[in-house]
Order: sequence, then C-alpha cells, then structure tokens
Amino acid sequence: MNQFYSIITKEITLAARSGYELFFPILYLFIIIIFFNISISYAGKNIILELIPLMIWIACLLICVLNIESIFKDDYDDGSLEIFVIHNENLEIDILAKIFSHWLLSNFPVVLIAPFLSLLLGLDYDTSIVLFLTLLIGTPTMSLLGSIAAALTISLKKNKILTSIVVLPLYIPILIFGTSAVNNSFFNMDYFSELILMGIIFFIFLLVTPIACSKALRISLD
Amino acid sequence: MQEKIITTNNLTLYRNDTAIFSNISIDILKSQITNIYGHNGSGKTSLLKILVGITEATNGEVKNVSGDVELFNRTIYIGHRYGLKNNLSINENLMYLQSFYGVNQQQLIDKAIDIYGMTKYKNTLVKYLSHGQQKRASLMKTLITNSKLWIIDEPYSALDDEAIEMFNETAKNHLNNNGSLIITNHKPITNIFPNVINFKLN
Repeated sequence: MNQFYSIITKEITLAARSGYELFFPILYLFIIIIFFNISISYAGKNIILELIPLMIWIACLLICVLNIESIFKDDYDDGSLEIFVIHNENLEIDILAKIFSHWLLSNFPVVLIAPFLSLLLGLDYDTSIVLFLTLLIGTPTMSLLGSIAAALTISLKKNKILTSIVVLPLYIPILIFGTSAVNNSFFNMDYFSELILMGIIFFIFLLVTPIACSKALRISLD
Repeated sequence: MQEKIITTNNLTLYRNDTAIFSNISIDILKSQITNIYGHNGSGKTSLLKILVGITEATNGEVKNVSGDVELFNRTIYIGHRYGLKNNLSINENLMYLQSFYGVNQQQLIDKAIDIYGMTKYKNTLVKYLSHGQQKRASLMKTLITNSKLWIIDEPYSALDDEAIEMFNETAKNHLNNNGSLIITNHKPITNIFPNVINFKLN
C-alpha cells in the first residue's frame, strides 16, 4: 500500500513539474466543443441541445485516446520501466497505481469540467449529472483498456496509430452505453441499466488489466 | 571453493534469426566480481539482461542456487539508461527507489550522496546534471538498500577518475560484506580487486 501511494505521489510531482502539459486535455475539450457549436449553429435549437452531451462524450473519448500512449512512454525512455517491472512482486498493484494516477492527471480534469460545460451550453441539471456519472465510470475503463494496448506497443517506434487502432473498436461498447444513458436522461427515460452495465464492464477490466498489462510489459521489454 | 549464487545452463540468444551467443554457461559466485567483457556487439548487455530477468533467453535457464529466495527481489540493476526521472531531484529519485525495496531510511540516501561527492546537488533536478553526474547519481542506487547482488552495465563509462575510485571503494566494501557484483566492461579487470572473474564473450 505504501508503494501505491508513493507511485501516485511521484506521478503528481512529475506532472506538476512538467509545466503546462496538464491543461492540454481541458484545452482540447474546449476546442472540440467550441468548433462543434460553431459548425452546427444553423441547426434547430432542439437538435443542438440533444447533440451536445453526445459531443462532449466523444470529445472525452478522443482525449482518452490521445493521452493513452504517454502512460508508459516516459518511463520506458529513461529506463525506469525496467526497474519497475523486474522481480516486482506487487507489479499488478503498481500498474493499477500508475493507471490511476495517469487517469487522475489526464482524464479526470476533463470529467470534472464536462458537466459544467454542458450546463453552460443549456442542458438541464439531470442530464449533466448523468453525463458526469457516465464519464466517471467510462473514462477509467477506457484508461484501463488503453493501458494494455500501450503496454504492448511501447517498444515500437511508430506506435501512435497502432495503439489507437487497437483500442478504438474496444471503446465502442463503452461509448454506446455512455451516450445511450445520457440520451435517455435527456428524454427523461430510464438510464440505470446502462450505468450498471458500464459499472460491470469497469469491474471486469479492473480485474483483467493488471494481469494483462504485467504480461504485456514483460513481453515488450524483452 | 566459493559458494555459487547463480548458475546458468547453456544460454543461447537469438535475435532476428542471428545467434548473438550460444551455449554460455557462467556461474556467479558469492563475494566475487564477475566481469563480462568483449568487443562491441558481443552480447554483453544482452547476457546481463538475461541474468537480471528482463530478457528471456532463447534456450537455457538462469537458476538461483544461493538458497536466498529474496536474492533477485533485492538485486540492484543499473542498465544502460540510468533509470532516474529527469524531473525529480537526486534525493527524490533515491527516496522513490528505496520505497520499492520497502526501505525508508533517509540516512542511507544522505550517506550515498555524500560518498559520491554530490551533496551540493542533492536537491537538483536530474535533468540539470551533466552526463557524468547523472552516472554518479545512478550508481548511488547501489547504496540505498542492503542488496546482495549488484548488476551494473558498464559502470566505468562516463565516470572521471575520482568517481571511478569512489565506485571501486563501494564495490570493495560490498564484496567484503558477502555481496556479489556482475559488471560488463570493454576489457578484463586486473589490479583493482582481489577476486575477479573475467569472462570473455566472443
């Protein structure tokens, strides 16, 4: 447990010292939403209102995809990944700590801002809450999934597209459940079943990812 | 007869269908330095990585016969890339690494920094250090826990004479405390340590 906290503290210290990189995800979110609103401004108001939470969801998904390769890259480049992996009895817990701190620093700010953004754009309170909840469950799942792909492709020089190709088809179910829940809430329909399904997917990947990731890391460091 | 701690059995390594080395059997003994040397490309770093456990040999195995199950868990490995985070200071790096071994002793870290003469740079971020200073900082990793086995890839590269002397001192103390050391180098080591095994890779 001590190691868990020291990994998270280290990642937060490193992020604080890396300058303004922390704000890029929020900036991307604003850019996508602003440009989306500008481009569909001629459509009817009810259509725009219906599409906004879905667009915020897609923006969060794309930000997740953009950030996912950086989870192990720095450690691989300076040699800390080898020390992290070799003969580490608690590698699974340590990997979870790494993924959690990466999610906390890359995706969580976006998740926090998204409901306020949707309120700002005119959506009702309930839909914004559901948007926040679906993102809160969906983005960690996407981080977990993406980290397996990132672990498999670290040692490749040109891995940018490959990670995205591997990961995007797997993100589709999460996207469908998330946007379906938000859309149902917008039309005042029931959304609990989608939330529960997303929760189940999250827990499955919470159990599978550390094991898969540790194997993938050992293979790609070979 | 010195006690064996690691034995290997006909290690062979292939990369892209080319044999880097084949049928290497090397025994690592307690309180000894094993110096793996050879020309560039002979597979020294690869053999070292197989001994550490990062790379898997195509054939053959590495066995821990020391009777200490914790031997590999407490091994200090310093590879070609130093394993230090650029945006952390030397002190923070060593504290973080110490936590991996379940140790939390600031005085060991302070002593290690002092032995390598970098007390002035204790709180300097690693990215602001010169290459040789970063190498000194990476060698400090050997002194922050009581590990029985050090595996260091080219310990003398980038070091000036003063730092080489510092490293030799720490290595001699380590050997006197029943520790073992596996290093790679370009040529055999003579006249520095009392008990060295020079192993040539062709």
